[in-house]
Amino acid sequence: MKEFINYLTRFRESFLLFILVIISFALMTTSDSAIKKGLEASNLYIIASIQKSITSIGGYFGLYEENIALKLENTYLSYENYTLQDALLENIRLKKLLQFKYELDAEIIPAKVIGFSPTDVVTGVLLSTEDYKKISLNSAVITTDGLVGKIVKMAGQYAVCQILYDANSRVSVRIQRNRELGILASDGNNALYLKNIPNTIKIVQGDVLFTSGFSQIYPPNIKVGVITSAKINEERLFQDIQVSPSVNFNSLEEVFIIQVHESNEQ
Amino acid sequence: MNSDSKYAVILTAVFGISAVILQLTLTPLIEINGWHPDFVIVIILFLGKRFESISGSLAGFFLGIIQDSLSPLPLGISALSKSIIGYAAGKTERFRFEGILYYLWFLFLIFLNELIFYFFFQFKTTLSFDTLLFSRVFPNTLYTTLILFFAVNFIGKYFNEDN
Repeated sequence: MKEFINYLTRFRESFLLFILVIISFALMTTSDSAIKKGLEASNLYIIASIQKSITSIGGYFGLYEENIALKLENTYLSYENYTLQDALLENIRLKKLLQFKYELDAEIIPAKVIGFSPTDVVTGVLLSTEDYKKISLNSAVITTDGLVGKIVKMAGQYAVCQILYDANSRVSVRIQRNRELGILASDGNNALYLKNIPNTIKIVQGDVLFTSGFSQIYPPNIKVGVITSAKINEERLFQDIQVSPSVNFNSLEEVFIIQVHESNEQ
Repeated sequence: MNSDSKYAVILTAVFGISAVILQLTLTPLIEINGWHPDFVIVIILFLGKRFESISGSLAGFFLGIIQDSLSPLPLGISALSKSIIGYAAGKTERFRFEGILYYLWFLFLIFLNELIFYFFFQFKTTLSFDTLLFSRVFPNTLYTTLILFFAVNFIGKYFNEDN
């Protein structure tokens, strides 16, 4: 035993590293453990509190609340506007043969952008909201301009929103003009691409994209972006289509989290 | 706990936590085309060099855990790479690297940190390792090394043996 202890003492640096590597691997393979969730929540809370205190200097004299209320109303109206635009096109195409329901049957929760995503691996923003008990993971986040992204992490009143530019972001979208379905994805380098649009489909520069509603996350008819260029690649089945987002991610201040009522989730 | 260990804990707490906060708040502002420096690894390199492998690997592990807990990636992915780098940085004094060799050694360790991190990161993304190597590992290594040059001049003195 003494020899073993002497051996460990002699190689204590390597032994410690070995232990730390084993612990790291063990933690990696138990990603849903209570330890991880507790650590995540507490650290996110602390960091978000620091960021909030830094950015809260700008919100004073009651203007902030008034601004929030106006933007909330504006968001409801914008959403209604998107829906109406879409309804008009659908009505023309279907010659009023069908009647659809266009009400937004969801709650919109205001949130303040208090900083960037506290992690390098998620391109996104850090949000703070008073109504945090109402929101859940994967809730869609919008502004009056359109879709921002979705909630990927929550801790108390703070939440991390993954924006469309994140390399792992995927949104099912529909081209407003011809109703074609595609997937909006990012290359991780501040460029958005519309994928899965066959070469046979005519794409026009300026075509507007809306969420299709085919996903569990994003409700339909939220404006996502505009097609800026489309190239047909003869060697491939699908076109190379670049998209400009409708939201300016560099000037986000307030956003709105869509909480679809459970009975209406798709 | 002797005075040197106490000093290691203080430096880890002060500079390590500051580096984590800086990583969260400043990195997005100085990000170029998705490339970003790693302030935390710079501090771990300094800590490892100053206090040798045990303190280096422990500091790397704990600061890595803090970083991991703020990301949706598996807990331990940064801790793993940073523990190894903290350990290797602790060998700097033993190898007696000086001048350009000192920087090349740290450049290699920064590269190794990025390499280990993105090796595991590839399993959580649709991007291939080749893509990550050229779009993240190499640029991030150079960017972090640039930050290292500044850090040596500004905070390097706190990690000298004289303190």
